Amino acid sequence: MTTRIDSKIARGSAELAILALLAKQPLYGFEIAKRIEEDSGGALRFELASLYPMLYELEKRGWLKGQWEANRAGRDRRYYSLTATGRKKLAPLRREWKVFFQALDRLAGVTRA
Amino acid sequence: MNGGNAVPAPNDEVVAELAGHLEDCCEALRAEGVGEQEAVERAIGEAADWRALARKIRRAQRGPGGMNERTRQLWLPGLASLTAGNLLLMALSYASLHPRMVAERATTWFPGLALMAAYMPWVAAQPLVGALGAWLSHRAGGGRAMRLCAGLFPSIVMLACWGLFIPATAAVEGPKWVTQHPVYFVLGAVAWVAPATMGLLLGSLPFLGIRDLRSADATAARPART
Repeated sequence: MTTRIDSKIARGSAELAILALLAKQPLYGFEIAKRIEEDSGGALRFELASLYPMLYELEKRGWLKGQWEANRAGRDRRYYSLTATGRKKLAPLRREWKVFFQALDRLAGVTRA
Repeated sequence: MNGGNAVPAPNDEVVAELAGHLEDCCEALRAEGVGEQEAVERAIGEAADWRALARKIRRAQRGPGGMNERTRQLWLPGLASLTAGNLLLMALSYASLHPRMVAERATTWFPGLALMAAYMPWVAAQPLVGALGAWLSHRAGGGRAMRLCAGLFPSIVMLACWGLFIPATAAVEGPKWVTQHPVYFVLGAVAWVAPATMGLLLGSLPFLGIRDLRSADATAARPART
C-alpha cells in the first residue's frame, strides 16, 4: 500500500519547518526566520510577507500559540510555541515528507546526488 | 524569557509584531555593517506589497470558512435589525385592530385608524431596533459608518422597496395603484421610510459616538516599546 502525498506539499514544507523548529523551543517571528535560514544553511529563507500569514494561519488552526514575552534585550516580542494539537500534527507531517523524499529518491536519486 | 504583561488587541498586535520584526531586521543588518538608511530600506523591502500582506494576514486570521469583517460588522447586524423590525411589525399587525373590524368607523372618524394601531407602536419601537443593529456592529468591531448602516438597515431596505421594487413591479405588471395614485405612493413611501429612519437614527446615536472597541483596547494594552 502506498501513502499518498498531500497535494499541498509545497505549503506543507513551510509548515513542517516552522513546527519542527518550534517543537524544540518557543521563538518569535524574527528568530524563526533567522533560525530557518541558519539551520538550512541559507537554502530556505522566510521573508516577513510569507512568514507572518503562515504563523497566523497555524495559530488560527490551533497548532501554535502566540504569547507576548520580553526577549533577551527586554523588548516585547510575540513568542510562538507548539500546542498539543500542533505536536500531534508534526509526526504525520514528518512521515509525509519522508515518503515524499523516498519517492523522489526512487525516481531521481535526489538523496544520493 | 520572562513574563510579559501587555497583550495588545488583534489588529494592533499584528502591527506591533511586524514593527518588532522590522526593528530586529534593521538591527541585524546594522550589526553586519550595513548603513542605517540602507538597513531601513532593506528591512521594509521584506514585504514588497504591504497591501497584499495585509490581505494575506486578514485571510490567515479568518481561517477557512470564517466570516469576513463586513459580514460580521454590517450584514449580520443589519439583518438582525431588519428581522427584529419586521417581526415586530408582523406581531403588531396581528395583535392590533384589523381593518375589516373598524373599516367603516375609520373612514369617517380617523382615516387609517386600523393601520395606525400597528404603525404607531412600530415607529415608536424603531429606536430599539436601530440600537440593536448599531450595538451588534459595534460589538463586532465595526467603525462608525458600519454602525450607522447597520442601525439604519431596515430603512435602507424599506427605501429600496418603495423606490425600486414597487415601481419596478408596477412597471412590469402594468398600470396599478402606483401609477394611478402617485401622490398616495409618495405619501406611503414617506410614511414608511422617514419616521422609521428618524427612530432608527435616534437608537443608533448612542453607539456612534463611542470609540471602536478594538482601538480602545489597543490603546490600553499596547506593549511598551523600548
